[in-house]
Amino acid sequence: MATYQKIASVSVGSGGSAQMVFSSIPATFSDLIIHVSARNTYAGIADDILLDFNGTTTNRTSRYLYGNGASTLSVSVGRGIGLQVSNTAPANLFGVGKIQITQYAGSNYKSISAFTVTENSAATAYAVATSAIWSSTAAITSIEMTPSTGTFMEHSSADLYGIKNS
Amino acid sequence: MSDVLTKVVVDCSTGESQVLPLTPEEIAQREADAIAFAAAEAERQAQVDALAALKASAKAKLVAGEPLTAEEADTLVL
Repeated sequence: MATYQKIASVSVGSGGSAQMVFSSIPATFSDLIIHVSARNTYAGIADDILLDFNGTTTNRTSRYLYGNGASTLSVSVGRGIGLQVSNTAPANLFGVGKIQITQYAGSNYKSISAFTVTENSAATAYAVATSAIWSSTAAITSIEMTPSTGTFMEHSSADLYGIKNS
Repeated sequence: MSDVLTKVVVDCSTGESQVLPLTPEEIAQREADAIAFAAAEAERQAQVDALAALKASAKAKLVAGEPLTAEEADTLVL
């Protein structure tokens, strides 16, 4: 039977942060799950969260399928993994999402799926389904999350879980 | 907010959390990411606007009984 185990949590304090990082990730699980809640300083409604591994920004590709209630779009986004709420949205609102990384410690390329949503108490809220890949055979030992513009605001957070199969 | 850009790093082996300054390379990457995002966002918005315009035109033509272009028809046909 598969089990979830919480590995670590990261949260942003007052003053904000340019990045949230999980380092020294143990190789004892099958897959990883990240639950993220984020808001950033970009002067817009929503912004990408970039997801990278082991301190590199190469060999990452992603595709969004996203909708905002009025239109849908499929687009290639490089290192993006989903959207977060940005700073023209009403105060105290954060985007939330779930990111799954399969076979993260194995020697194949790493497949990643994600679902993120934003909210701004108005018509333009986004729901994004992401399929992504890290084209590297290295085991993932660290995960870096970065806003593509600005910095994460206070109370942004992420929880990292490991899944063990049996 | 401090002028020094920092990152929060959690060591999963110990649970310890640290706030560390970004390296010059990381700062340069941030600047490149911001430029790339601006371009990508403009392209995405252009695609959304173009699709909305096509759909509006297609709907108006349908109501008026006028022929649709192939692009307009693509917005309606699954």
